[in-house]
Amino acid sequence: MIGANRFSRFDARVILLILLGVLTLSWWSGSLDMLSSDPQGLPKINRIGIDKAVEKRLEQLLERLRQQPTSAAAWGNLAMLLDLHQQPGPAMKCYRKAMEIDGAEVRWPYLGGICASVGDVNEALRCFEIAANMTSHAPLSIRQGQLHLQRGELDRAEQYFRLGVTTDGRLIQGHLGLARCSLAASDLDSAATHLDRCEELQPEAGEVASARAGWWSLKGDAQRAQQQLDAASEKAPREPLPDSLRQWAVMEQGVGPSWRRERSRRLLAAGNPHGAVELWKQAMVDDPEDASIRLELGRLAQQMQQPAVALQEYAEATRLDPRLAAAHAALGVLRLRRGDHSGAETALRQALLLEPTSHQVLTNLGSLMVATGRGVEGIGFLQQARDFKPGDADVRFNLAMAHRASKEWPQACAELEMLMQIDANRPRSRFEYGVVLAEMGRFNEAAVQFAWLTQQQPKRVSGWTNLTRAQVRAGLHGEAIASLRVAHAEIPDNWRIASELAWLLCTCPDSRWRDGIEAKQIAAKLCQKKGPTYPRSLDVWAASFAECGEFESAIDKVTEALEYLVDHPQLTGDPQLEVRLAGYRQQQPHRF
Amino acid sequence: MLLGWSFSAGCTADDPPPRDASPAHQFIDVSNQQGMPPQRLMDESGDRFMPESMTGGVVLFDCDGDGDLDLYQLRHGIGDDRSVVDRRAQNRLYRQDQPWKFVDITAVGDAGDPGYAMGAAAGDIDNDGDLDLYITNYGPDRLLENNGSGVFTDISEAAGIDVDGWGSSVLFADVDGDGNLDIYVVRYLDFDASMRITGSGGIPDYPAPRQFRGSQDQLLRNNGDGSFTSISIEAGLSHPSRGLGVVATDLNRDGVLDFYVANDGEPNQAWIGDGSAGFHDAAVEMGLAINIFGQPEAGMGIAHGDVDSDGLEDLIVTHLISESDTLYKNLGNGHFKDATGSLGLAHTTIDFTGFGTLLFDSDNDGDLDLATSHGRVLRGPIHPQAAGSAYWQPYAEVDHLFINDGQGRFRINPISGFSTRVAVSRGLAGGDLDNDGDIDLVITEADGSLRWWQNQTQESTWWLLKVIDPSTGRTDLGAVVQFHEGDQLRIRRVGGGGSYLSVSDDRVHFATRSGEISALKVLWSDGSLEDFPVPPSQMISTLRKGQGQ
Repeated sequence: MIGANRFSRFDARVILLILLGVLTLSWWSGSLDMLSSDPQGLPKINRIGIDKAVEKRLEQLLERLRQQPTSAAAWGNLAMLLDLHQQPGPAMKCYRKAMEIDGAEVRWPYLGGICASVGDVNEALRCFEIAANMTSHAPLSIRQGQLHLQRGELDRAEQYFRLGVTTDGRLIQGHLGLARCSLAASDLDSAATHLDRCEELQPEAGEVASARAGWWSLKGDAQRAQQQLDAASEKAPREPLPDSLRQWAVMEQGVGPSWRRERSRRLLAAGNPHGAVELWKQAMVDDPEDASIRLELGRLAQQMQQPAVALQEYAEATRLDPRLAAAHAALGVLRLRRGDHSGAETALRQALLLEPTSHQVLTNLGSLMVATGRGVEGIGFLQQARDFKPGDADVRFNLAMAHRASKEWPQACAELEMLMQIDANRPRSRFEYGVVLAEMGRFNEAAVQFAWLTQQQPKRVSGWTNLTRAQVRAGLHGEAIASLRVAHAEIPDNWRIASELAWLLCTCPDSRWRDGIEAKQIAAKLCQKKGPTYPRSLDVWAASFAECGEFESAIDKVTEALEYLVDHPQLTGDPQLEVRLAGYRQQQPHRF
Repeated sequence: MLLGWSFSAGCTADDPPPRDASPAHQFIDVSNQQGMPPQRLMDESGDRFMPESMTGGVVLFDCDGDGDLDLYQLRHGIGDDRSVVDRRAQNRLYRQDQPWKFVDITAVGDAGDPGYAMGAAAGDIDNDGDLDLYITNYGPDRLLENNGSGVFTDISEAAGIDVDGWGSSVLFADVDGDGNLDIYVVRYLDFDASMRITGSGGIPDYPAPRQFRGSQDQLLRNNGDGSFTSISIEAGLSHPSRGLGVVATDLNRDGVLDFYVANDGEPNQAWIGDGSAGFHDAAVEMGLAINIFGQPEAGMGIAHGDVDSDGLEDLIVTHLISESDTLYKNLGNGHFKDATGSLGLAHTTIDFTGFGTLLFDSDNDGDLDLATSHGRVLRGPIHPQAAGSAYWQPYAEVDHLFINDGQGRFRINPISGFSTRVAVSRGLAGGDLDNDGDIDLVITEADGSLRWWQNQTQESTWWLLKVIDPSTGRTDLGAVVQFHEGDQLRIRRVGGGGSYLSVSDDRVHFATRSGEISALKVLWSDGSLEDFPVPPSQMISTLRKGQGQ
């Protein structure tokens, strides 16, 4: 028993010592915590693989937070940084902390709501509700509407969308939301009204086209629905919501390469290219060896019409990182535009070495070869580009043009036919397709292409003249004259169209379409103007006199044209003038 | 000292809340029970190689004809040479010898394909009475022939299987009525394997599918002589798209099987069959291409079944986070209507990225309930109970079991037990693994884990039916079993694919609480309708064509 008591006393001392040690250690560790003092409630932040610019900003914000742990702005700024850089969980905790500290600041619940929108819609709606009690902000109402819509709560969604469009009627997302509510309620008339408004505001919006597809589908017109869906897939999948508060967050805390690019884009969109340049120059101070920054500076310089600066930046980018294919490619394209073919070729070949499957580099290199008379080699590069990217309309077009330059009409035609399947709405492609078809003697088909073009671009002279030439070659004389009349009405002061119309009117082999008097009136007007076109105007006028049986006048006009050509040796005359003169002397009107 | 540290650290906001250990859970996780296959985790790519985020097929089928279900797991790995063939990560075949006791028989035969596997289908390609396997890979696909006892031989080359690229879901169906099973292979996208991306924080993440062009699905005609011919173009499958899920069902009720394909970020396709292997896409006119708001969504998996007991098969497609799953209700006139919101699936699914999905009678009350497996493809806040390695935790979500109220409206079953696991779930298959009359579930996870859920439902009257056409000697995939429970018409389609990369039990399961089942009929895949007496309940029965009333 005695021994046992002794042991007990010993045990008690040991336990006391251990407890003392534990307490001391706890105090010590706590003191260390106080010294490094991460503020209470700071969430665990993942730093593995984090971008160095983000880490640097993180340290700055943490330092500020340590100094001002009760500052809502310090928590909010940290939240924004984490939110914008792939850490939504910790970001949300920081937003909540900022909201606790300053319940009157709208930014934290609003941005917190956006952060929570992906993955925790209940929380997002709670945050938005808090923000909505403080401010009237159209994007906020629209975001509330979108979340309720996705949850199938149509009445509430509609209520918020209406509030959004009342606050700012220019945002298509508000009208689109209302259209979607109407679609879900099968109210097609109402949906149509809202969709019309969207299309007025932004005709090219992919989301609107997609919603319109849904409308046609409910309407029972599958074909038009499909057309709209096809159109939608070519456009942006989601329309960005212009939002000043979110923009502010991005501009404040969006650091690192991807956000820097986004901030630069936003600065450019806001008409502040110098701000964008400053942004990248600041980044260069942080990391002077980063070639991608030089590349961006080069691109900005190009947008600001400073090609010499751009060349310097691209060259510097390739020096800093010789393996940066995009820099070599950009350098090559810029040199090509400036006529430095040899320098362009060097840069583009280097880019190709680094990225052998880049259809863009192959296309540029191919086009360069074609432009410098190495058509066969150029076509080879372009064919490779096409094989890597068979659905790319630009690649097909360039290849077709290369074939065209080599007068390889069937090959050019084949590429353009494929191009029409990829994108039939490009005027330039339609024009070239028409030209190639005409070269192959397929005048009717060529006329179809040019007719489409004249509808799309009624002021484009070459569209009209090519259309009428194709129609003439197809034997469609009446249609050719009719086309020229439309063109003349559309562009009354154009000499080429007027002269072609007058010429056809007086020289058409088909008597049904000839009208010498009208031709004479048009030609007389043409001849009021002297200059390089004057001999041809006299030629047309002469033909119109001949058509009216006034051969003396016709002979006078041709003679005057020949004399004018003698007086102006720089002008090239038409050898057929003499032939027509001989015909008029024999009382024979000209027929084309 | 450790005690001291623990006290001073205290409890942080990141600590997980206590787990719900309610004994009343309908589903019990038996994955780590004795006799179950060990968890064989797959290596992480480390740099977010996109295919690893989309894999995870599983097949529940009777590979050896002994009457119980076995399991085939699709697996993947990257070899030391960075190729996508990795012997260490070969697919696994587990044979069930007793209820919930499995033996790994991968090493016997060619079942252990080392390709970068995605999904599979099981079907009897040679009408010899056993189930063969078609495997889709990120890489060349494989066809494995069963010798009847669960030993497989790779006959891809001999059978003329020449499908490369990125395959996803696949199913067997007889598209030309010649009695031989043809193969529909869904293909995903033309992936650039060199592509790696980092997110805005510099942390690597998976690229968005829209950065890649979609691939052309493949229809392989069974020539009846052991070989297959691709007839995709002749069949009219004209539009490449980023396909992931597929079901074979009769969408327009003309007696001919059609295919419905869920596409990722593009309109879905409804390939309407003409009965002789010709197809055209009618998804837009049928209301199946886009949701009610006119938006194409990120379609992953598909469930098919009659959710509101009107005798018409409805469709449910799982989607990306911020897009709810979509329920397309069959109106019976060749058109479907997006009824997601009114049937309770909008607000309950919007916060999750759904992959596998299955309509089945989870509680043996006669109507079809819904299970969905979830797991993000984009990083999100880490769930406090997230399982698995740090690599996968930012992608982990809970799975859900929705209970049908009998009218087609769904609500989450809070005591299913199914939502106690937070992981990156992908493939989902259902089947009566222990032949006790309820449907058990298997889920695959992105890290290679297999999660086995044993259904504890009791006290009901149930039937499990094999539906055999003696002329082919095999299950008549595409046939429909119809019956009445009281005054309600119930239908169950045999096979038909669905879920995500996975295959469920091809036996027809139904149950009732009232015990009254009548007017049992089979609409065979050739269009003939045959009455059958209701077989005894609480056992497995076989309905043979031509042996009805």
